[in-house]
Amino acid sequence: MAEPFSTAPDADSVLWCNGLTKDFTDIWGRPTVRSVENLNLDVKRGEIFGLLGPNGAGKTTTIKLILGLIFPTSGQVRVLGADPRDVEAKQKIGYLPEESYLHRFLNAEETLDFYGRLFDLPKEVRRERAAKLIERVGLSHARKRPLKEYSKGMVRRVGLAQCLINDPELILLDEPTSGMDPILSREIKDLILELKAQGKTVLLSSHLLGDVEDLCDRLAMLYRGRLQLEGKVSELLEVGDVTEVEVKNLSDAAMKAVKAEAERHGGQVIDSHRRRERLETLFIRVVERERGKKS
Amino acid sequence: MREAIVNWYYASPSHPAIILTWAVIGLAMLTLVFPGNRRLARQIFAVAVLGFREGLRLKVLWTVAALALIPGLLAFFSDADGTHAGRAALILNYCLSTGELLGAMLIVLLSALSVAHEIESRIMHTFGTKPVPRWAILLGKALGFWAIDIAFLLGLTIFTAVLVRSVPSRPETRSSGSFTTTGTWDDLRRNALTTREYEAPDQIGGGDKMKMIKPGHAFTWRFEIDPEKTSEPIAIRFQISSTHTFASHIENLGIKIGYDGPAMPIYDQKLKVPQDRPFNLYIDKKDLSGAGTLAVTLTAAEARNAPSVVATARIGLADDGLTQNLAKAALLMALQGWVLALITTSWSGVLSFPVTVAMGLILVLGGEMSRHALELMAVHVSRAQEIGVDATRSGMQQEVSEQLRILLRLLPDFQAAGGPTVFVEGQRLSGWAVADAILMMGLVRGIAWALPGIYLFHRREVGR
Repeated sequence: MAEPFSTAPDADSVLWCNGLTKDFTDIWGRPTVRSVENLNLDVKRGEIFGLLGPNGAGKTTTIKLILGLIFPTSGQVRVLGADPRDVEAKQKIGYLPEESYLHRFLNAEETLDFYGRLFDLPKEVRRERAAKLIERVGLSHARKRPLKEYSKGMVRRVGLAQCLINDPELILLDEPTSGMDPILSREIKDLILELKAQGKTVLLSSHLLGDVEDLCDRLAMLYRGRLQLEGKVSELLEVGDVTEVEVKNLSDAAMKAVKAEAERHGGQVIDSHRRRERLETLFIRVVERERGKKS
Repeated sequence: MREAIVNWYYASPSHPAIILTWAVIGLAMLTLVFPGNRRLARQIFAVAVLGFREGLRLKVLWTVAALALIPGLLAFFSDADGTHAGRAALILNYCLSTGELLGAMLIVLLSALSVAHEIESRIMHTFGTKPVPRWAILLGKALGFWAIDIAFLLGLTIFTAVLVRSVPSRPETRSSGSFTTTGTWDDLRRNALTTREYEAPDQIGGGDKMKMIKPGHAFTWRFEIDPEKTSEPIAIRFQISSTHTFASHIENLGIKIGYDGPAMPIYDQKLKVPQDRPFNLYIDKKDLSGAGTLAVTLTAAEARNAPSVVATARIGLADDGLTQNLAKAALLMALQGWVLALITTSWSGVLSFPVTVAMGLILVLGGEMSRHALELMAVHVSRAQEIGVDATRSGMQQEVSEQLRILLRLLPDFQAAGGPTVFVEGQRLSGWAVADAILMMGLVRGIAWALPGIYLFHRREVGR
């Protein structure tokens, strides 16, 4: 399942960690907890890579190590071929923290303009991108309001927009859908797929299994700081001896015939049921229908 | 090694060193306009603008700004000594003291809050992942808060000037020409700009007289020599105060002592005398020729003709009138603000808010203590001159110079100590001496205090 780990980043590696370990220490420098242990990762260009794990598994710590916000106790990290603390490499990185930590006295436009300035984007580019991103995250109506007046979901959307203001090559999203309603959550997932289509590399950290399953090409599962498994989502979730066949407009009699035919070939039908849609899809449909009525 | 460098710096004529250092600083600034560095300059500017806006929103700024107006208004609506000049002097004293203290407090509070707040509120998780070097974040923040300090000082300076110019709008309650038979030393000091004569009946013998002498003017006191004591030497005790209340010394005070009349004076010297601290002059009995009236004439120097003082330890500027002095005071306070902004912003990336504030306050108060220490040492110099022992004078000065060097090593912030206060010394310093003092403030305090903070912030994990 997992591909053999290369001991050096290749030309296609956007993000590469080798033996990454992080111990947190007390004020006297004594180790108190090992948050990440001997982690190897190799995220390739253009893929959506999922970091999956329960709370406290070390996902956020790993992202902070990748961004140079904290420093590894041992091991190596290369981001876009550079050290995480390299200022130039940060030019091509976008980061959405677990919670959106932004200056609350600025409005959405000012926030994006400020972060655009930090990337030294020309004024016209800043304006154009800010306007597009604000529209993309659905905040055009509130772009002049200070962030302190925003709801949590709205601040989150501004956070996502600031993460994309520099048109980054590598995007790190820490729990991007946390605290969001299913509709917004769906929109963000669509946006992530759009980014992939544009050739961006996305590292997605989440404990929401559905998000990772829906979006990621590959995933790494962490538990207590250790890598438990890693590989392509499609391969990891495949059950080798079970085949699913989806058929439309099948009568009960025909179903019986299909079962009989399967048994005649040595197979065993272990389950058959009417297809159910996901609760998320149902929810979105209902809300969209009501929205349509109002408009 | 460090001692050798410090000694070299102070032992050599400092001009070449100053020129060299300023040239290096100038070149460093010039590199910001190189195409490769313009991006950095723009980033620093963006952070500075954010810091400025952030600072404007903080309630502490508006609280301090409101507090700063109160002393000036109190002085304006008080009678002071009943004269316009006295009230103007009181307004100046109150407003400038307020500006010095509150300006320093303001910059400490604002800049101590800056990065510490961003780390605690985790804004640094977003900010710190952008392509801006950490030192540039600190520099931008310090510049932003410094801009607020400058705006505050500018506002206070204009407010002070308006108050002083408005003084004639309220009538005097006493005639400035009248003779006053009662008064205290404090009354006289408050009355600094008047020419009235005071007499303090509560002093010994009821005969001690106090008098304000304008620059370039003289005043003579006359005393009868007790016929029964003509065989004894005479000690004359002086205590001089000036309008420049923060100055440690008064320069070029002419003291002439002799028998009243055309006879040759017994003593005729121009001295640098300590302010507000009593000193004695002794007249040997061999110089006395019996009973008579002893005339003691004090002549105040022309402020504009005060000689240059070669001083690497203090900043002193000429007394050039209200507008210039206010401008100089504001500039010097702004300079102190910049040094404090740089230091506290740097350390706010390492220490928590309360600890950084405490450090800033220690710096401000430490500066004050250093200033007093310096003044105490300067007293020794003047006493060496005062006793007129030529043979030992140079040795004494050498000793004091050495003490100053030791002080410099012990208290690297003492350059700033005299910052905004010594503008009132009435001394005209050469531009080189001022440049040297400013350089030392920036380098000694900046490097010694801010650089460790910048280094530690660079090494700090801001994402914990």
